[in-house]
Amino acid sequence: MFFTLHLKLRLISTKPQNNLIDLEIIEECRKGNMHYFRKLVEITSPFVFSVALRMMGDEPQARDIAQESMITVWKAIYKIRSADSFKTWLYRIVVNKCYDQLRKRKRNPEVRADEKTWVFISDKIYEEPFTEMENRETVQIINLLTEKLSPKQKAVFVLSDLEEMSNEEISSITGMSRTNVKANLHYARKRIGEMIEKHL
Amino acid sequence: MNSKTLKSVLVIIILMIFSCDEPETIVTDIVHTDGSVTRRIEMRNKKKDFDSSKLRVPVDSTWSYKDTVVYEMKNGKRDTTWIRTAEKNFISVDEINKEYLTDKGCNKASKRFVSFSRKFKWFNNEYRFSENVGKGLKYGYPIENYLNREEMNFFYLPKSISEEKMAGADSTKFKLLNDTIEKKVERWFWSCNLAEWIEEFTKLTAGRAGDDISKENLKKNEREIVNMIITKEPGADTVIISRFLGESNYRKFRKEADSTSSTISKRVEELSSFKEYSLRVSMPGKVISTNGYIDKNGELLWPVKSDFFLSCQYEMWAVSKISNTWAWIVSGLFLLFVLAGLIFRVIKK
Amino acid sequence: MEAEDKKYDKVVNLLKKSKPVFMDAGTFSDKIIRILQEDKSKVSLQELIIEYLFGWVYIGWIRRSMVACAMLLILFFGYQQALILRRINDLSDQKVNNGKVVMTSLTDEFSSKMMLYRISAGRLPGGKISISEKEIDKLVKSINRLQVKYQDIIYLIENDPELKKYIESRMNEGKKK
Repeated sequence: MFFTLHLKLRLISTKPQNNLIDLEIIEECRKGNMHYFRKLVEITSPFVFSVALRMMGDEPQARDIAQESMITVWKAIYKIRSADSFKTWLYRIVVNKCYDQLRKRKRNPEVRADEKTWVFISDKIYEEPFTEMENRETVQIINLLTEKLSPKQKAVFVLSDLEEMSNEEISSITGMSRTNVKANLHYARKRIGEMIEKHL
Repeated sequence: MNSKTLKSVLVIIILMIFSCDEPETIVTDIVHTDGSVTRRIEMRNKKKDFDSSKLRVPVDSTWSYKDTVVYEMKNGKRDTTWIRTAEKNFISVDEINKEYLTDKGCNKASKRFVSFSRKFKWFNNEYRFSENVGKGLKYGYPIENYLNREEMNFFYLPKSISEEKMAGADSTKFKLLNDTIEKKVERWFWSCNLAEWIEEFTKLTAGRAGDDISKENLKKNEREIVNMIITKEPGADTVIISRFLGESNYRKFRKEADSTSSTISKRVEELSSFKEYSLRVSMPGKVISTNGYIDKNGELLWPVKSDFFLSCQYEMWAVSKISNTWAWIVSGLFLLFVLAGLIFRVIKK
Repeated sequence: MEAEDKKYDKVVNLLKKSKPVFMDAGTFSDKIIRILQEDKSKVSLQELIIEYLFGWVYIGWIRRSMVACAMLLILFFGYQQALILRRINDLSDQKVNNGKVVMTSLTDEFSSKMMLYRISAGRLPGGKISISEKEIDKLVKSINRLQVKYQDIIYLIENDPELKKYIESRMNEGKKK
């Protein structure tokens, strides 16, 4: 019960809620109020980091991206006029920065199956009671599963299946049409499903 | 007005018309932006006689001049014309006005003065120059009361131009116009004289004359008297005064009437002795407004005749402008600056 | 197939439950703020100049005043130019296109020069000649000088009877020859 409660609290704290990013904070940040910007960073940096880490699969890189994203937010916040559009806009910044970094990375020509990780996954999915994984472990699993995906497919998978966003939201964030989002998601799930089937 | 005065005035007018008008004079004022004026005077005479007492505008030893002579063959006879061109640079119009005050020429009785002003109007500087001749009669009527617009335009034309029009394509029309104007001018002239006489007489007899010869009552008979003078009814000389003042009043105020008549005739004499000349003005920059005529060289031209200042001051004025380049540049830069600021704001938004 | 989906869902749920933990959020915020403040102080010269020049656009009343001044300047310019144009157009009534040039000095006006040339035309041989304006100018100036001198000489001769007699006798001698 304690874990369930903790989980719920964590969900509240990491998933951005519109009522947590008040228009007042945004307005003050537009005026150049550093104090309010610090608040904004404190509220939004956890889920920015979450998306970045899941996309990049590397903690230091994810922190860098989160940092760059926050700086970009500060410089461009004058464009935002409502709290509703802020969330999508923020995600867009993060995802675009991740894209840029992912494109720079060289693709591994060979896929080396990491048997230890698959065993770990197999154990974890049936673990009772469930214990949270460390960032390192989470990253390992995501990297393994998404190794064969393109940056777009990876982004769509992370935003849809892990961040639980709607196709519409993903479409606004990534700039893809809803059809493309569906197509990319389908392909990502298929590839991941094949890998899971093969190794688990 | 007595018959003697009337006759003398008539003689003066005749003399005025037929008088020898040498030396013919053209005055050219070249106005500069700093208010200085280069004055050039060109005088033509059949003989080499440019005595200062005969000159129509003041010219003295401080002027630099040169003489030339022109020989022309007319009907087998040689015609000689002497031309004296005098020039002087005046630092300001005040110097010209000083010369007018100390004038010893034939037009010394007329009150002439020159004025110049400069106005800064940001994009342009406006320069206004005028030569003025003071009115001869104090109480005359303006000519505008007697002539319509078309007649006024013709009346003020330089002689050479009016003569050309009367000899040109619409000569009949202009000759008719000229005749009409002459008749109206005659009426106007006599009306002004009479008005002057009435004012001076009532001043002299102030407080002593009865209501029957008050200014208002005398003015009521003005038209009748002018008609008499113009039509010159037989015996008009003798009935004019009695009709005008009444026999008893005439006997009572004879002295005053005679005194007034001599004052008026003196004024008219001074006016009629004014020798006509032409004035040309060259303004700095572009002329934008004037009451003169613009000849094909772009110079402004006015005739200066005693008719023009009989009852009103005759002002010959011109206004010109020169663009202030620096003001244009500054304004342009300011507008660009504001525009750039607005564009910058839009971009930043 | 169902079993495959189940495995997929289990794996995805596993990942969903294990949200990445963001450590040292406070330090992260401080770092961001510090970077931004450093950036602020590192504003480039170009930006400084632009901000200095165009900082007024952010202040409402100054911006509005400047725009109003600019509009007034444009209106004033338009009004002034329209007035001047109107006055110049009115001048056309006073232009005399066929007006004679009233009087000019003989040596200045080309037409007067031509008059002199016409006068002496009878003495010149027939046929066409081409003369430049400069040459005519020279000719006219020298004629003027000669005429003045001639007048002076005639005057001297007229006033001196003995000289007059002498010259007449010399002229008669010349004619006889």
